[in-house]
Amino acid sequence: MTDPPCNLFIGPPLATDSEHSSISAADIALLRRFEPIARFTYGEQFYPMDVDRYLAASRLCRQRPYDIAEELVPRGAITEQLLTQPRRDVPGTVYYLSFADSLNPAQVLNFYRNSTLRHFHAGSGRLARVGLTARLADLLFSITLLLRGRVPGGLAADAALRYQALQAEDERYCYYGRVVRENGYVALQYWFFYAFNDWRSSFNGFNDHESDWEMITVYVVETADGTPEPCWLAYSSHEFKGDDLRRRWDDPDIERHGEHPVIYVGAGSHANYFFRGEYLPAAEVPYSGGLLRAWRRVQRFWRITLRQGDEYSDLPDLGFFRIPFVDYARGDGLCIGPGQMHTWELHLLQATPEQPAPAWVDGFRGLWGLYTRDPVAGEDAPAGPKYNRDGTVRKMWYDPLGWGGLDKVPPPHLTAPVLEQQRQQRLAEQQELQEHIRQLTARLMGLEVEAEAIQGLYHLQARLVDLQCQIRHTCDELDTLKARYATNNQVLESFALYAQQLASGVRGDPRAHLRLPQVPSSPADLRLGRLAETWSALSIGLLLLGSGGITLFFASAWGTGLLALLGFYFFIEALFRRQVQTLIRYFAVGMALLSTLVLLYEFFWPVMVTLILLAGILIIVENVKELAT
Amino acid sequence: MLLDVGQSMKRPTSVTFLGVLVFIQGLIFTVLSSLALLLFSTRLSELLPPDIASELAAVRLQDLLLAASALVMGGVSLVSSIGILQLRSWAWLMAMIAQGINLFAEMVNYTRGQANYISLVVSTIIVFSLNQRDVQMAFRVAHRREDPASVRTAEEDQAAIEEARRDVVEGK
Repeated sequence: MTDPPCNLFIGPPLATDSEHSSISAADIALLRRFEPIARFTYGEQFYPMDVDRYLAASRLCRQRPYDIAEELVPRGAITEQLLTQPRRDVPGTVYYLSFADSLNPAQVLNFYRNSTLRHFHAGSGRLARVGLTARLADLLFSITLLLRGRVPGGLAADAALRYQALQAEDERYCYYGRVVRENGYVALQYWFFYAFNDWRSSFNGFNDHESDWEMITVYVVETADGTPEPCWLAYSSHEFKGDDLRRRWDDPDIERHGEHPVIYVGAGSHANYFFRGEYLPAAEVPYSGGLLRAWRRVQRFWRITLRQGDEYSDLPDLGFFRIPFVDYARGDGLCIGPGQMHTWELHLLQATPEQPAPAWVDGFRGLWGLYTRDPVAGEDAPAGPKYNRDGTVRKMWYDPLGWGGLDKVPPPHLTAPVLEQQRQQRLAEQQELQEHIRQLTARLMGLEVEAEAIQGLYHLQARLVDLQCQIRHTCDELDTLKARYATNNQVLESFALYAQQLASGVRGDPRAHLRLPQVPSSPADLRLGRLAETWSALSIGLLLLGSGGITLFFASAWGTGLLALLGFYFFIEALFRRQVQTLIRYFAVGMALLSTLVLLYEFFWPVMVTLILLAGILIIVENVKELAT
Repeated sequence: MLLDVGQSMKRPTSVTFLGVLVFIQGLIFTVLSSLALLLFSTRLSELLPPDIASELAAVRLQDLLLAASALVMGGVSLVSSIGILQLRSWAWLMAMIAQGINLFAEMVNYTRGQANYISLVVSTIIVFSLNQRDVQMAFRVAHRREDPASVRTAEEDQAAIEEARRDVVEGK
């Protein structure tokens, strides 16, 4: 029995292309009304800019597979037509823009000496906030940077100089607006274009890449009288998507100035956050998903099946497969937005009655910056707001609601009607179930009476067996229907309660939808002492040196020496993190697991036989108990 | 799960079993190591036949130290067993440390071909029992009763709920 399709009219489920591509004056007013205030971190080099100046200062290049990159259009000669002209090329060809050139080390040094970056203090380093294994993974990640494609050193500095020169000529801060109406929502998208993402080179982050597109969405609903009411906010943050990206407008934790939400922008990464602070968005090591999933299964078996460990978390998260990077969203730098020192210049990604949409939105599928041939793509420039790097359309473009996990959430003013419709569907289903149950009951009784009638008649034994089988199946089916009927009754009761809650205007917990929201590091994480930080910075290097030393000078006791060294390291780590008790538990449990393996290895068959004997004794005891009662 | 500080706490059967096991282990360690140390002492060896006494004289300092460590381990186990039976949280930690060290020593012995499998089995059972969530909970509840300041706050409760919810989500 499947649910009938939803009949309630809440607008077309998907907006058509023409609806996506045009924008009215009222929509522009909405964009202006809810435009955000962006707070940057001191030391930030790049701010949201307009695309036109970036294009004017860039070259268009082409990279064919197994070939060297070639410049198609020189700097300053890119036109809309050249950029967007249809191109047919060999598969695997990548078209990309190139904004900056690489500076030499002396020029880079000179740049850092004169930039605001020299006053940026990382504070408690990222390595001090994570465990030893994660630091080892970080070391391996640094090594992979030498092997895979990466943005060359000095590119960020040159991009910053070029961007600053453009700003010195004409200081402007821009966003690109887009409005999409879908399922009763008006999604106001604010797209921000940056000339460069210098998270790795300037702020010890995960990656660098030329150009950066980031976006936030304000979800507005229009009430019956046409009044727009904001209800949700979603901020783009790295590659995350879904429910955890969005917050309810009336969430008391959300910072707003009037109707303008505040964004805290990650230094260099330009990820958008709701709260001021320092984030630890661990990046997963590529291709480690399978190992992580296997590890989580082990954890569940350990915790749930064996009931081992602490109340909620015992086995450590497998930090080895996550590389930690601090995203500084301190909000102590430049502020852009209504009422701030710098205000926004609005550009549009859609056509208005007066002017068409920018041709590059649809027409340029290439990368907006250097193509480094990075196999994990972290250092390749992104494509435009509409496209992924592979030329497919971005989810945040074609599905603004689904990107923020809102496709399943009715707008507030439609929740009650949707609930009522759902109630009607359940009531209809209950009626169907009642009828079905009545019919089945009658059938079951008929079958039972028939079976009783032919009981003992040897020539009808085959029929009796068939009847008994039917009776069993009908009983099962009836039981399923009755259980469903009972569950539906409970659901209907909960509908009534929820309807009362809606009628009273209570919307429930604004954070009920959040599962793993991004939150800044706690003050306790940031209070790690100077000693801990120094230790974190040196520990992996010292560990490697120690291992080398033991191998060279104490080769005969290599294993024992290494174990002692590791034990010492883990103890120091635990001391810094005040987790000595946890370390002791891990150690004892680890030894117990090792002992179990040894015992199984030495006494496999005796153990098996003992288990079988125990099982036999247990069964006999249980059966004897049953007999006795 | 905010605990009613005044609620009474009955010792679970698993903790009683654990306490008794640790006590027996401690007793065996203490008795055997005491006997060994007594045998090593000069006064006793004078009473022994000369051939046995000469063998005892060949006992190395390392063996004496081992016997002394076993005596300390036995003492620690006895004390922790009493603490376990009284649901003291320090006893849980003390037992865990003792068993960890004992298992480590037994593993070293195993690599040298001198494994004591009975001790290995007993210590393994004790560690897994100590690590059982219900056993840990019993000690934690008792600790909260002793020290109301350690009762989990509403925020910590919320964090635990979030953790559990994450478990469910990740499990799916």
